[in-house]
Amino acid sequence: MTCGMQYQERISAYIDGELPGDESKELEAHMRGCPSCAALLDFYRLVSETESETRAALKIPEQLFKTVSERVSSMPAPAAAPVFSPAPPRARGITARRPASSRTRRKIGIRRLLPVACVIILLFASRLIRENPDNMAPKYVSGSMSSYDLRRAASPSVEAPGAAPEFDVSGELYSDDAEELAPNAAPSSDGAAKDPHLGAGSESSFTSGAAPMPAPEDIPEYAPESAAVETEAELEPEGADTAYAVIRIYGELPDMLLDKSETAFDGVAFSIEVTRAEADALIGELGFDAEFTGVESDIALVIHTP
Amino acid sequence: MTAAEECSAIDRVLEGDASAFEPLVLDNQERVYRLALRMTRDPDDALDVSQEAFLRAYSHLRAFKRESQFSVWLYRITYNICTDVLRKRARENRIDVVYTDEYGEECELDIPDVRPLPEDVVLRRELHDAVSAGIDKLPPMHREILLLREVSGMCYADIARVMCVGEGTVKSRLSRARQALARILTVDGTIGADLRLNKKDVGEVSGQ
Repeated sequence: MTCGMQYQERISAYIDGELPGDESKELEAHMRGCPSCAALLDFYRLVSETESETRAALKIPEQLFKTVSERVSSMPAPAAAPVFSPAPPRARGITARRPASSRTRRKIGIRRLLPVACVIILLFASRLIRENPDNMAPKYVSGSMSSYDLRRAASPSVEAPGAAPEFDVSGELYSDDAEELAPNAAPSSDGAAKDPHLGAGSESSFTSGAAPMPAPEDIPEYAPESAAVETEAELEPEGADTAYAVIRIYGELPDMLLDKSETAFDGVAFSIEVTRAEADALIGELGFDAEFTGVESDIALVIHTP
Repeated sequence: MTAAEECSAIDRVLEGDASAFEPLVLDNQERVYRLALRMTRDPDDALDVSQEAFLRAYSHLRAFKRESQFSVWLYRITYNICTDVLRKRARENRIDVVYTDEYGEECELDIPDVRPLPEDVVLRRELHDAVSAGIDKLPPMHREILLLREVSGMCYADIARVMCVGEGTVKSRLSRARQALARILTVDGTIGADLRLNKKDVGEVSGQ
C-alpha cells in the first residue's frame, strides 16, 4: 500500500499535527515523489473531514445541563466525600468513593473484600503470529464467550456462548506485546490459589476446569448481569512487555491503581497500561487467585471467586 | 474558560459551592456529549453517559490531580463509562432502531432519506455513512483511540493520559487504526485499492 510502517506512522502523525517540523518537511518531500503515500495522506484527511462535518451537525440536548445542575445541587459537596484524598492517610472506605448516584452498596475494604464477592478477569492477549514484516494486517481475536472459555477462545473464531455464571468484576487486557518472548520470560504460575480464603479446591475455574462458580453475594446494582464477555484483542506487531488493561473493580482500589490512574473509580471500567511486573504486583496486592500467562496461552485469566 | 477560571471554579466546588460546577458543565458538555454519542451511537445512551460522567466528576473531584486540564480528566471518565456501556451492550447484543427524543416522542434512527438530493450531498452522505460504519467495525481499542482523536480532537499527550498509554503507543495505535479502517473501506468498495474514493452511480444512490 505504502512505503512501510515507518512512513505510515509518520503520515498518521502528520495529519494530526504531531510530527516534528523537520520530519514533516522530510515527509512532504517524500510524498511529492510517492503517489501511494500521498494517497494515504489524502485518505486520512478524508476521514478527518467527514468526522468533523458530523461533529459540526451535532446538537446538544438541553436536558443535559439542566439534569446535571439539578442533581449536583442536591448532592453532597465533594469535600464531604474525600475520594482519593492525597492527604495521608488515604480514606479507604468504599462509602467515600460511592459515585453520585442513588446506588447503594455495602462498605467493604479490599482486604475484607477478599472473602466476599470480587472477581477480576484480566485477559492478556499475546501474539498468535510470528512477526512478519510483510504482514502488517493485525490479527483479531473476537467473539462472545463465557469467562470460563477465555483461554480456549483466544484462538481465532472460537465462540463459546454457553451458560455463564455471574461475576461482579471484570477486566480485559489488550496486549501490545507481539515480540517473541523468551519462554523463560513467562512468569511462573501454577495457578494454585494464592488466597487463603480460596483453599486448595477453589482455584479459579480457569485453571481447574469449568467447575460451577457460586454466584457473588454482593453484586452492586451496576454489576454485569452475566459473565459472558465480549472481548476483542488485537495482536500488534510492536514490542513491549506491557498490556493494555481494562479493569473494573467493585470495592476499594489498591494504591497502585490509584497512583496509575486518577480516574480509577470503583464500579466503572478503567484502562491502564501495565507491565508484566506491575500486573504481577497488582495481582499480588489484590490477592486474587491469578496468573499472568500472556506468552504460552495467548490470554491469561485472573479470577477470584467468592 | 481559562485555566485560572477553571481552577477557581474547582476550588469553589470543593469548598461546597455546587453552583460553581455549572460553568464547568457548560464549558465541556458539547465535547463530552459528542464523544459519548460517537462512541455509543445512541442519543439516549449518550445523554445518560454524559450525565453520569459529570456527576462522577463532581463526586470524585478530589481525585482530580490537576496535572492535566479538567476537560482531559472528564474525557477519560466519559471514555470509561462509554466503555462500560459498549461492553454491556455487546453482552446484551442490543440493537436499537427506535429512541425517545427529548419531547417523549419515539424516533427511528438512521432512516434513509430517499428524496432526490444534489449529487455532492448524496456522495457526502454516503461517505459519512461508510466511514462511520467502517469505524464501528474496528476492534475496540482502535475504534476508541480513533474517536478520541477524530471526534474529540485531542492531542497525543491527552489521548495518552486518557488511555493510560505512552505517546509512542498512541502514535502507532492510531496509525494501525487508520490502516485497519482503510482495509475495511477497501473491502466494502468505498475506496479503491489506490485509496482513492470510488465514484458511485449517484442516480442509483439517490433512488433516481
